Amino acid sequence: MSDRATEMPTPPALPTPIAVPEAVSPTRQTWQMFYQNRAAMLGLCILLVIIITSIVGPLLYTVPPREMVWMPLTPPGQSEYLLGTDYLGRDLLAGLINGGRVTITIGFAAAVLTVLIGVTIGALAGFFGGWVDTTLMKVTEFFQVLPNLLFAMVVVMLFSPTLTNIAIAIGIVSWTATARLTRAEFLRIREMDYVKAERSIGAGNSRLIWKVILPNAAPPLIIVAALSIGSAILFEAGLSFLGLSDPNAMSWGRMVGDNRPYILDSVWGVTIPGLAIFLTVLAISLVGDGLNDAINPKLRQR
Amino acid sequence: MFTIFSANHKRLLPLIVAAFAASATLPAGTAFAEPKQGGSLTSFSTGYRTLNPGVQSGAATGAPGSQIFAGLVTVEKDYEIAPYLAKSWSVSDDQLTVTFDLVEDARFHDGVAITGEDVKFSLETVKANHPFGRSMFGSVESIDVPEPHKVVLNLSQPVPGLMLSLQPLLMPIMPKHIYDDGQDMKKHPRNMEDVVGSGPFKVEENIPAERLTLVRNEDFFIADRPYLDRIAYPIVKDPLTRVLMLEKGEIAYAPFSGIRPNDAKRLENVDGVNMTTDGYDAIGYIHYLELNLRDKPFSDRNVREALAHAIDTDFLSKVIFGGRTVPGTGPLHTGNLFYSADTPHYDADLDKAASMLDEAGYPKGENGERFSFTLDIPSWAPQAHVPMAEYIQAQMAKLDIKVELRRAPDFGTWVKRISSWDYEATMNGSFNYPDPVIGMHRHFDCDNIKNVIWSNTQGYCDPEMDKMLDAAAIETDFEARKKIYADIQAKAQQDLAMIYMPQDFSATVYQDGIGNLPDSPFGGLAPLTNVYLED
Repeated sequence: MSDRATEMPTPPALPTPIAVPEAVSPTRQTWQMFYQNRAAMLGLCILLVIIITSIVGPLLYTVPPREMVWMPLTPPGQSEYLLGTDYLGRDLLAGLINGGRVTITIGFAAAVLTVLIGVTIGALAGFFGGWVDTTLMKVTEFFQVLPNLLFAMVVVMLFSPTLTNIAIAIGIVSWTATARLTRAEFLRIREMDYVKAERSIGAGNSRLIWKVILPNAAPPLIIVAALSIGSAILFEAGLSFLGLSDPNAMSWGRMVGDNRPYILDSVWGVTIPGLAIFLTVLAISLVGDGLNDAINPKLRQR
Repeated sequence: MFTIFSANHKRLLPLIVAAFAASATLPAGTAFAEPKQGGSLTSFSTGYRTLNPGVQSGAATGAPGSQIFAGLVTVEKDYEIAPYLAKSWSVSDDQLTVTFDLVEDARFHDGVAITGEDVKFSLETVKANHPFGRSMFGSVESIDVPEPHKVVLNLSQPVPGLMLSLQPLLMPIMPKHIYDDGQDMKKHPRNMEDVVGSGPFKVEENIPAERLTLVRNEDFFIADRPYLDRIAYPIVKDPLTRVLMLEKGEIAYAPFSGIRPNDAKRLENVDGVNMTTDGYDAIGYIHYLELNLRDKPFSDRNVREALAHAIDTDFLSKVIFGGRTVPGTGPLHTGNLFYSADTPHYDADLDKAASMLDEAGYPKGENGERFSFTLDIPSWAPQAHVPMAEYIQAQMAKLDIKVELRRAPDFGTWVKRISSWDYEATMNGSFNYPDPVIGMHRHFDCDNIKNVIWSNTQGYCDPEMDKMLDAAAIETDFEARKKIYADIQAKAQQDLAMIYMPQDFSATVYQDGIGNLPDSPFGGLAPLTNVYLED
């Protein structure tokens, strides 16, 4: 969006100079809107803390997450290990810090996949229309009516639960909303005058799709992408809860799933990683909502 | 007269005499309080595919199956054999002919008399269809029925464990007039629908995946038995739900409860709820780390010894399983009659393990690893296998061995991998069953290297071991047999055909007020004929 804005020709000078408010770039304007949104800023701060902890944490807090360090099922605050230990006597804090990396990576990877598949299919369908649209939308509808979680479970079960497979499974069951949204945006924008103008000066299909329409369809897609990170994290937690997690990677969802059988004796083992998931998803939602408010021009003058 | 069949004949003889005197009406466990008729007992089931233990092993079928079907004998406390459908038996001097006299007025649940033909049919069915059919009855050459209530087994060689296999769990007496219609016994519809049994309880209602209800067989051949009017088996698959139901008293009697050690502690603190680990000796549930011996590095015994030194099973038993299990010392469960503790022991010693690996030609490589392997985790018994596997992964990391864990999504996937020998290492476990011929020989016999789960899938073959196994299978003197099994256990542990993990934590949870709970080594898989509810 900002690219297009800077390419726009400057308006002709007015005959009588009046007090023109200083031009503000759309990016800056968006940021200002976002900045004024307290909930969104809170979400952003939480998210930053979580991400930074996940990246730097394992270097600072060096307790190995897989090693048995204390008596199993020690409650928080009763040993040198702050958050207590799990059923094997492993440090929950170490698990939480190391698990964040995996959880967030899966979240991002799945979201990227969701956007890639969704945008490609939606863009092609919306741009070309006709039989391409019909076919692709039938495919989308097919994926839409499949029960998401069940389908993901089948995929993970068939191809063994590794991080890659889990991210792929989440990606291929959750792209449909993105595809439909992209298609709607493309249907709207392809009829705009500036698109017709581009076409009339000889722009090819691929230029129209990727360079002209997509940047203009971007704002709602950015929001959907942000929110899909959150839902991917929840999805991963759900799969882990059902026992479909990568046994070689510590993720928050897996911590919840693995500790579930011990919930009667160790509430903390499930609660602590559960809280981490909750906070992360909440933060992502707040940021997504904030972006929505900030980007959506109709709300600008509110 | 009974020498070859008695597990422990010093204790056995008086019992049999006593049992004869009481004309088979009073098996062991006479209670002080006067048992009374009536009442309903709630147990549970994890779900079953068949109610006929003659074609399916395991506790899910066995627990109700042993109530629905009677056997020739029962196995009582200390492995004593007591009469059941067979009121007496005799063995020829060459120990190759065993003659049973059956109770004469016994009837199936549909009123048809139980005769020697049914016994013959049942034994042949079990031999052909039960997973251990051949191990148990492979030496039974022919069966004669000279009189309606007399059965003669002709053996090709002595079978020391024969009597232990003739109780209802392993050899239920099935109605020939129902089953002998040419259909595949394993898939016979009457294994689930309209089941006609011979035991103390009849099927009242069988709604698979929901509940099973058994009611008292009014026409049972032992007078005034059973005491209970009804046994209910609601299907409860989730272990956590089960613990909560036990805590609230919604399940009164739970053999093979599947609880974890921490749940045990919790349940012990509930008033009126008790827990025992007795009653699993004849099942003998052991766990082990199975390594595929066909390929490097596990084909090297020294590598396996290094692993054994790195895995501290004492720590696992005491800390991870809360001191409620004991480390395995060899292929037999501590409750088995032939158990020997005198086997090589591998102390927990990571330094020694590391230097053994160096010597075996597996020094730390350029990538910082000695080698890596994939460790499969079966879908069943996760409460035991997941902590063990995660512990092994952590210990191996200390030795610079990278372990990739692979959790099987379902039973079939795991079975396929292991039985096609397409694995490097797996967590595993198996039942000894009362006689080692049934549960132990299968893992070591060279002839049993088969594409069958729980056979000799790891590919262990040693001529000396084979010789000892063959000798033990037909040795009729108990002490001599025990001696051979002691050598076998020592050799298995010396060769490290498997690395034995802590034994299973098998527990029965039961409420106060239940009298005469079975004290058979088969525990909850024995008939509940004498169980009653106190006031």
